[in-house]
Amino acid sequence: MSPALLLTGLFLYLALLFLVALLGERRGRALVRSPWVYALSLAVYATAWTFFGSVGRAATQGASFLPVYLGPTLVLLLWPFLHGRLLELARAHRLTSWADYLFLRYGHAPLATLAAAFLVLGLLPYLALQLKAIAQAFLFLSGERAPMADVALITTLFLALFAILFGTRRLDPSERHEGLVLAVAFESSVKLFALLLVGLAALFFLGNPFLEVPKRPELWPLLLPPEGLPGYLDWVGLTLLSGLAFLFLPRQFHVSVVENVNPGHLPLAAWAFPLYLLLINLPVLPLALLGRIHFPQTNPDLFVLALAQEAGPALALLAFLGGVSAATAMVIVEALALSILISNHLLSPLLLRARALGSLLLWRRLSILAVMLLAYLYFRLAGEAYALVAMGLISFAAVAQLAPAALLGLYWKGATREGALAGLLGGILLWAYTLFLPALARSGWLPPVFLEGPHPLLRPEGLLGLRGLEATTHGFLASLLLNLGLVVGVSLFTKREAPVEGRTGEVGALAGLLSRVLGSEAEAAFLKEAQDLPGPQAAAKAEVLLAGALGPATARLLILSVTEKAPPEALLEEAARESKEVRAYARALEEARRELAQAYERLKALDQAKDEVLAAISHELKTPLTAVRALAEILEAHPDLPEAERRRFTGLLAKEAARLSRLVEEVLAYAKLQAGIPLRLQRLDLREPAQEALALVAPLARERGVLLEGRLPHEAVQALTDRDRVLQVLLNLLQNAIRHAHSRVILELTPSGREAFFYVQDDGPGVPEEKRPWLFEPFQSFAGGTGLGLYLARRLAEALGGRVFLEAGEGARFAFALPLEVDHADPGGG
Amino acid sequence: MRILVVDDEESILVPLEFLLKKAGHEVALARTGAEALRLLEEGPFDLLVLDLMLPDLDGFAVLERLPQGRKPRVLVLTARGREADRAKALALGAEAFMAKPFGIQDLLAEVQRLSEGL
Repeated sequence: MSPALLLTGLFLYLALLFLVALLGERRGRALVRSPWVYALSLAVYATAWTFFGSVGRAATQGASFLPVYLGPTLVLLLWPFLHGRLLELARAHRLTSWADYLFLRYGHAPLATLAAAFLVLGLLPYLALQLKAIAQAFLFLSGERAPMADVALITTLFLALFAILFGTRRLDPSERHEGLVLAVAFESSVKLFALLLVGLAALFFLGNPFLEVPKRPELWPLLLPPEGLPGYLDWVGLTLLSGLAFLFLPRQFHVSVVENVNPGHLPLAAWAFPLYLLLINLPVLPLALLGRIHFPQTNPDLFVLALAQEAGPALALLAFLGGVSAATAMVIVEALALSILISNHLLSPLLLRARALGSLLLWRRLSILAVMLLAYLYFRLAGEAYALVAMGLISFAAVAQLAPAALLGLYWKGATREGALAGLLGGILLWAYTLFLPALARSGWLPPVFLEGPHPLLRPEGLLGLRGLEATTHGFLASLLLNLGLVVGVSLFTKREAPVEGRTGEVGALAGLLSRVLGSEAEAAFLKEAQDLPGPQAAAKAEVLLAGALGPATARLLILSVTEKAPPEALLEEAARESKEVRAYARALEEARRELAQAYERLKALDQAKDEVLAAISHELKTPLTAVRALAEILEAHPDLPEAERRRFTGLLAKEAARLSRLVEEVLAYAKLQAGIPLRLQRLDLREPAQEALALVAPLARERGVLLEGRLPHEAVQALTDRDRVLQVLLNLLQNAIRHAHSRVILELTPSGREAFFYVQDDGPGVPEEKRPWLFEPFQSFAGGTGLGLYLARRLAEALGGRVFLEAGEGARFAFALPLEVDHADPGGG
Repeated sequence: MRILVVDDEESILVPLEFLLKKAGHEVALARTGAEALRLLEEGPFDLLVLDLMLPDLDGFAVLERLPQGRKPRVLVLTARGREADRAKALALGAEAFMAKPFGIQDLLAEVQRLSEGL
């Protein structure tokens, strides 16, 4: 097949990938929210190593490729216990990787940094493997031997561009990338479709290989179960290893946790993804057998391509693109996940300390490019060496070193920072000793002592003299056991660290920080949510937002700059609750005290009012009584008074007697008002009580030298009301006016709408400002009245549904507004 | 004896004036506190018969503002028979205190007593 055709196919495919990703970011957003897309995106697990390597492994070692897919299937069965919890944690704390989780769980320690660095180093060869798969497939199909590197470099750069475009478009604390996810799901469909089609075509063109097997004894071991304890251990070890890898590979965490839009997708994924793995593995064994039968001389890793070529160039191209899809999906997601790890745990803390944070997006893009170029470099340097070929499982074993600290951290409260660190360090060292260094030694880059060890008991691939186990299984089990033992052992002997202290800060300062680091959009979002939160919660929210974008370590460093220590949460809550209770109690007490005081004041006022009524009445009675007594005694003692003098005295006597009787009338009216005598409504012309009132006060006016004037309308003013009370109000107002007038009192009656207005105006000095508030209170006389007049007038008017008030102006002008119909009877005046 | 009677009630002033004149005294009348003070400035009085309830300056205010020098003796009349008022009036220089309503004999006896002390 011509290289030009292959290259065209490759580029067309990559262009299609671009389009799919664009679709995911634009119109296909709804599609990305489908649980099927989520399940398919999990299939980023199946790499070129699956696509080409499974057949290769089956062709040389039989069914031992199966545990690699059993592990994830079994892990997914645990989703209600594991993934649900993980998603919840990730959502609450914006976790972007397991390293984030380790930081969250074990606090500020080199643990997360170590884990991140180790993951990057441990996964570089795995990335290189994918590049190699693409290059190898290209060379095989084009029939050329060199240059193998070129197509790999182009692909590398292209995938870096893709990851940068769709993975670092913006700094989103949630780290969701719809386009990328849709592209990955699309690639998962392509690789499954391609492998199934190649399998069917091979069966169709080359026949059923299982019928051939009985004739070929050399194929029998491929179909037999594993033998003896080492065989079973290999199976179990490999299942466990791949299960842990499925959980802890950065790209798996990224697609299954970070890019998860809805935890409700898990139940479907829990069966759909294993089904996917089953389907993609169906053609493996037939292809392996067919390869062994028809291409005994070919590299088993290339059987898929060789067999596809038999069915024609179109199928070969499809097989090639299937491999490419498997490799590119993995490379893109892994590169993105690693770049987030690098920027969150390695770069940002360093840059922040150096005060050179700058553009985070730029650093992330540079990280992607660096990861990709390092992977390419590794592929160029390692080439065909064992160090590369064996790297798939060795990377798995590296990733699995996170498991003890992370899983125990999730489910065991006793796990401590020291334990986690010791376990991870021990696991890494033993992993390097038993797997990584021997792989390098096998490639000839290190002296053979790294294969043999300094002592027979310390042989890297057979510690304690163990024999018969596969090197990978052995190294994995040994490092994992040591790791686990150290986490548990050290944790048991170290004290649990105090929980990370809470921080509290001003919402404004936090928003400012977010604006500086993440931009105004993040600030606005934060303000919307945190406006009414108390300090500690606002600080936590800001930290979560920052952690999503910068990683938890950097976020904490940044938060430290604008916050201060908050008292421990439990204490705080306790204090808050206590003080709340105390406050409520104090409030209730204060309320009760106030009510009591008010009741006391009311009672005192009532009592005082009663006393004052008595005092006022007696006082008002005493002046006329004194006069009457004095005058009467004089008249009695001086029967021979001159006639003029005598008449003057009897006139005064009569006047004071009238005053006494008026006083008694008022006191009786007051008593009647207090007793609540019901209204006696009758229809009447309001001019009539007005005229009567004028007539009744005429003697008083005359005596005081006051001119009395009535301005009554010509037409009748009909009203339904209590005549006696209206008369009493008018009398009180008129008497009050006459008492204060210089020379003139006017009574005016004006109907207005549904009310009639009586105005009583005098030309006296008016009511002093300071007296107005008490004008209508009982016994506030200040001009020789009874002190009851105005009070009675107002109360009586109110009883009639009307009101009495002082109008502004010269002299005193009292208005008495009376409804023409009493619509509510309130005999007591309220 | 020159007597100044201060009360805002015509019906009190008239009988008092009659009685005191009958008893041989020289009587002047005032209806407000201000008027009373003005008369006190104009000429010395031997006795001041003072009502506490007055429209402008009340009796206490008049007591406080009595002209320095030859102060008249003061007989306070009041309808407010409260002990506090009596004490306050006495503290301000009043020498006798009569609660309304009083009999004319009592009043004349009191005036007589005060005039004898001169």
